[in-house]
Amino acid sequence: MSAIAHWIEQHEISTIVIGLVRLHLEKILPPRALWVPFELGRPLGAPTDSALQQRVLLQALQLVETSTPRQIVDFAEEDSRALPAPDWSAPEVGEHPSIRHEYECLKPAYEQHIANTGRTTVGVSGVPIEQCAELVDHVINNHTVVKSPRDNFSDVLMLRLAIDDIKACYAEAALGAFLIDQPAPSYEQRANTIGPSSRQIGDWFWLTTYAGSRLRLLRETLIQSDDAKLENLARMFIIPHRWRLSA
Amino acid sequence: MARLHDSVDNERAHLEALACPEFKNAAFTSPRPLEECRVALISTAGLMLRGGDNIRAGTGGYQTIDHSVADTDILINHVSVNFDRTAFAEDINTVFPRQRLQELAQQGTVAHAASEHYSFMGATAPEKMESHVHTLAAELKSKDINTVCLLPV
Repeated sequence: MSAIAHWIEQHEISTIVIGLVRLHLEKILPPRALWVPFELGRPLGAPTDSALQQRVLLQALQLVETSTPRQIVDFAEEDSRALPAPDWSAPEVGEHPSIRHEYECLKPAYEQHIANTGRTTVGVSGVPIEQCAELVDHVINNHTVVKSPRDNFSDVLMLRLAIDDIKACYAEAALGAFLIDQPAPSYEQRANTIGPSSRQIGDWFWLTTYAGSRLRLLRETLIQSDDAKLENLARMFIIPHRWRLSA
Repeated sequence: MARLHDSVDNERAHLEALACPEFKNAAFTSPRPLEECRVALISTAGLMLRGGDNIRAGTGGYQTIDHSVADTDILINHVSVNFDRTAFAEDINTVFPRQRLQELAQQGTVAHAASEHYSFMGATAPEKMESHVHTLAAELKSKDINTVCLLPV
C-alpha cells in the first residue's frame, strides 16, 4: 500500500514499493516504485526461483540511489510459473458427501506438501483442519452459522477463517499431489520442477471438488441472508472474483 | 497476471474502482548509496504468527515479525480472497523475502537486514493506518533503519 510509503518517508526513511497494480502506483505515486508484472499475491514472482526473487528485490532497493522523486520503474521479467504446468495432474477426489470425507481423501497429498516444504499455511482459524471441515459442512448443510469454538472470534469470523484454512489445505494438497510418494525434495530440486499455476489449482478446487463447488453455491444462498455480517462475508470474502456465480 | 487487461471483468472493475489517496508535496528522502542501506520489510499481506492474535480487518495495526519467528509460524490472515496464496504456500519468499534480503546483507550489497520486519492488513482504510504507520516509523528510526521495502499483495 503506497500510502504507507508516503508516511514513512516523512520520517526521512527511504521507501521503495514493489507494486503489482500499476494503476494504483500511478494514482498514489509513492516516492520510489518498482512495478512487477506478476500475479496478485506474489510480489517477488515465481516460487522456488530464488534468483528471480533476488533480482526483483535488488532492482527495487537500487531505487534508493535515484534522485528522481515518484518514479515508477518497470521490472522486465515475467513469472515462469504463471503458465500452466503441462505435466501436472489434479488430485483425484471422486464423489464425497462432505468436506470432512473429501479431506480424508486428500490428506496424503496435503501431508506430502508439508514434507516437501517443511511447513503448512493452514492455521489461521486456530482449530484443527478436521474441525474446520465439520464446521463448514454444517453451514453448507444448514445455511446457519455454528457457534464459534473460540471465545474471541465471532461466529461469522470463525466461519471465514475455517474456510480460509480449508482453501489453504486443498491448495497444498494440489501442490503435494505433484510429487506424491517421492522423498521430500530440496529447495533446488523443487525449483527444477514445474509445479501447477495458481489458475490450475483454482480451477481444480472451485470447479471439481466438493468443497469448492459447494462453497460457490453457499455464497449464493448466504448473500440473501438477513444477517448483514454473514451477507457481507458471503458477498466479498469467500469466493475470488474469477469463480463467482454472480456479481 | 496483475495487468488489468488480463483480469476477469469483475476483478478489473474492482481494481479500477478502488479509492487511492492523493499525496501532494510528498516527502522525498535524499538518495543514499545502496551499500549504506539498513533495510526492513513491510508486507501488507496481513501476516500473523501461528497461535498468535489475528490482525483484525479495519483496525489499522501491524504485526512485528522478529527474526526468531520461523517461516513455519508465519501465516496469511488477509481478509481479501482476490490474490494468489499458492505461491506463499510453496515459498514464503514470494511474499515475505527476508531470506533474499539476508543474502543481500551477507553479500555486502546492503549494509544491514533488520532483525524485525512488519506486516499490515492491506485493504484497510488508509486513515485508520496512518497513526500506526507513524508509530512504526519512530520505532524504525530508533533501530537505525534507514530504508524500507514495501510489499503489497
